[in-house]
Amino acid sequence: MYFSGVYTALITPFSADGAVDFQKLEELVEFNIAGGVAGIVPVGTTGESPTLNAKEHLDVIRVVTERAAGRCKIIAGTGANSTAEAIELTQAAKAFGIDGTLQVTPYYNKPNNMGLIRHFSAVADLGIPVVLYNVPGRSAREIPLEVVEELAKHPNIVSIKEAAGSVTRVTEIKKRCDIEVLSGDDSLALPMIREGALGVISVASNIIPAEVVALVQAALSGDFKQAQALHDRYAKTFDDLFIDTNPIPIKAAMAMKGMIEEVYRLPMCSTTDEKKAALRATLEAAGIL
Amino acid sequence: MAEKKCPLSKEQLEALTERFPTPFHLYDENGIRENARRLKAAFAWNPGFKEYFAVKAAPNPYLMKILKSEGFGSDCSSYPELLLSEKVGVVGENIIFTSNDTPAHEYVKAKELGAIINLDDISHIEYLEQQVGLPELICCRYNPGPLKGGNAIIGHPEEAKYGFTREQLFEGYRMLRDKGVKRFGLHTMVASNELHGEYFIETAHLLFELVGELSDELGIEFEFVNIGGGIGIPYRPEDDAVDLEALGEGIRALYEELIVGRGLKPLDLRMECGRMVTGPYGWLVSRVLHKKNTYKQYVGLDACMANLMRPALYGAYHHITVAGKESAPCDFVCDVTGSLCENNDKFAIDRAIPQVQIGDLVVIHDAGAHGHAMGFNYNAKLRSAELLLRESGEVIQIRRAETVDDHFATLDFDGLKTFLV
Repeated sequence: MYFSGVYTALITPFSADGAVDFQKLEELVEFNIAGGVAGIVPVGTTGESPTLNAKEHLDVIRVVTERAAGRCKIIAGTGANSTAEAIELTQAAKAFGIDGTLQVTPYYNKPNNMGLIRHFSAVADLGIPVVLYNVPGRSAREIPLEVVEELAKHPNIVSIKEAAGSVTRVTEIKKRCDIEVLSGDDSLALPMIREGALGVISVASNIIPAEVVALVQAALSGDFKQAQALHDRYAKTFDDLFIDTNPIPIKAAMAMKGMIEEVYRLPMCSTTDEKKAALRATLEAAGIL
Repeated sequence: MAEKKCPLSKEQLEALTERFPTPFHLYDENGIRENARRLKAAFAWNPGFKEYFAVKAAPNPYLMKILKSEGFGSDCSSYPELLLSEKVGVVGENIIFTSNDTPAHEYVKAKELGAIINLDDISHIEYLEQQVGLPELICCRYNPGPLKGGNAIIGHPEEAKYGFTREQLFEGYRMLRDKGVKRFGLHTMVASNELHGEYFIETAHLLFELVGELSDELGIEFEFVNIGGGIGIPYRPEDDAVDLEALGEGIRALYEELIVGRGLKPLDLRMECGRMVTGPYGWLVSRVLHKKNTYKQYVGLDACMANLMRPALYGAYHHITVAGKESAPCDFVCDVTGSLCENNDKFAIDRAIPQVQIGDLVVIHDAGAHGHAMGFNYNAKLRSAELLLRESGEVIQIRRAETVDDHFATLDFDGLKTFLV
C-alpha cells in the first residue's frame, strides 16, 4: 500500500503583492500535520500550478517537503503537458526527498492512448512512485480504462486520482487493474472508498483537515455509519467549495477564517459577492466559521 | 550553469568514426590551452606561481607536451609517470614527486631527474636518506586532520592515509634541517573535485600560517607552499565552475596579510591540479549498440566502465548527450549501460535523454580526466584510442586503441606446448 488516507491538495498562499508567501506556506504545512493528514500534495491544480513559474514551482515543493520533514508523505504535483518538462520537474523534485508525484493527464494537447502510455511510463521510469491524475474536466482527455490497465503494470505507477466524478469507474478500475485509487473529490470520497479507493486528495482538508481525516478513517475502518454522519455534516461544504473554479472558493473560505490573504494570480480572481455570501452561510452552518 | 557542448558536430563525429572506430576519447587542445592561461592569469600576482599537472588525470605525453608549452610542470606519483614526464622533457624542479607508500627505486628515479620530492610520512625521511640520500630541497605533506572539514571523495583528513600530523611536521622539518637539508617546501592536499573556491582559500590560510610558525620555531625558510589540487569541475549542467579569478584574488589577499605582512621571505605558490586541467575538455564518444526494455529501459553502448569507471566507482554524474539531438527534448528515461558483466556498469541510471536509436553516437562529457586514465582490462576489455582536436581543427590520434595482441603480450602461449597437465 503506497498512498492511503487524506492528502491535502495544498493551496499556494500569495502575499498582497502576488509573491509566494513561504512563511504562510510553512504554517499551512504545520496546520495540516496537526490535523493528522497522511500527506500533502504541493502544487496541484489547487496550488495554482499554471501560474507558478518553474522556480516557484520547485521552491514550493522543496519548502513543503523540508517543513514536513517526514512527518507526512509528500506527493508533488510535477505533471505537465510536455513529457520532457514533466520529467525535468519530477527529476528536480526527486532530489528533495518526496514520496511520489501526481501526474496530470497532459492537458490541452489531447494525446492518444499510446501517447498517454509513453508519457506516464517515461515519468515513472525515473523511479519515483507515480499517482496518475484522471481529470477530464480540466485536461479534455480521460485516461481510458485500457490505458490504466496497461500503465498499472509499470512497477512505479502505483495509484490513480479519480476526479472524473464517476464512482462506477472506480469499481471498474478495481475490477480490472492492479492499482490503488484515491478520490479526487471530497464529496465522492465516501462512495469511492466503498468501491475500494484508499482515501482522498482533498481540497476541504485545507480548512478542516481533522474532520476530513475522521471521515476517511471511519470509512476505511468500515464504520460507514460514522463516515456517513460526517459526510452529511460537510456535504454542503464540499459542494460549495466548487461554487466557483477551484481553488477560488477554498482560498476565499480560508481568508474568511483568517488563515491567509485572499490573493490569486490572474487569470484566477475573486468570486462574486453573492457566491461569497452563500459560501459563508454554508461554512457558518457547518460550524467552520 | 555549465554548458555541455562537444566541439564536434554529429557530421564531424560520424566522419571521424570512419577513421577511428568508437569508442574513443577525444580531447580539445584549444579548450585545454585557454583554461591553462586562465589559471595562470588568476595567479599572475605571484611571480613564482606554478601548476604541476597531476599526470594521473590524463597520462598522455601529447597532452603533457601541450601543458609544458603553457608552462606547467608535472605532479608524478609513480615511476612510469616520472618516465612519461622525462619523455616530454619536463624534468628537474618542474616535477613534484608526490607519492605514498613509495618504493625505493621510485625515489631513486625522482632524485636522478632532480624532481622535488614530497614526503608523505616522517618515517620516509630516514628511508629516503638510507636508500637514496637526501636532496637539497625537500617538501613535506601536511594532513591537517580534524582541523579541516573534509570532502566527499578524499573524506575527512583524519581518515585519510596521506601526510604528516602537525606535531610530526615540526619534528620532520627539524630532522631535515639537522641533516643538512637547505631548501624547504610545504604541501597539503585535502580536497578532491571541490567546487567551493573558499575551500582552497582556507587551505592557503592554513599553510601560510603554518609556514610562519615553522619558520619561527625552526629558523628555516620556505621557498614554496603547494596547496595541492582538488579544484572540481561542474559535472552537472546546473553546477558552476570554481571562479578562478576570485580564488586567485582571495589567496593574494591572504598572502599580503600572512606572508608579506609578517615580513616572511617571498613564497612561490604551487598547485597540482589534474581534473580541472583536462577534465572538461575530454569526451568519451560511443555508439548505441542495443536497446532493451525489461523492468526498465536500457540503452547499451559500445563503451563500458573500462573506458570510464567514475560512474560505476563513485556513482559520479557524467552528462550525456546524443550527437545531432542536442536540442531534442529529454523525454526518454533509461539506464545507459556498457557491456561488462557487472551490474554497476552503467554510465547513468534513470537518466532522461532524447529518444535514441541504435547506431546513434552518444557523447559522455567531462571524461578528459580520470577517464581513459582509470581504464582497465577486466572482462578482457581493450583500452580505446585517444584523439586530439588540434587548434587547426585537425584530429590526430595520440594513443592508438589496444589490440588483442597487446592484451596477450604478457602471456607466453608457446609455453603451453611444454606445460604438461
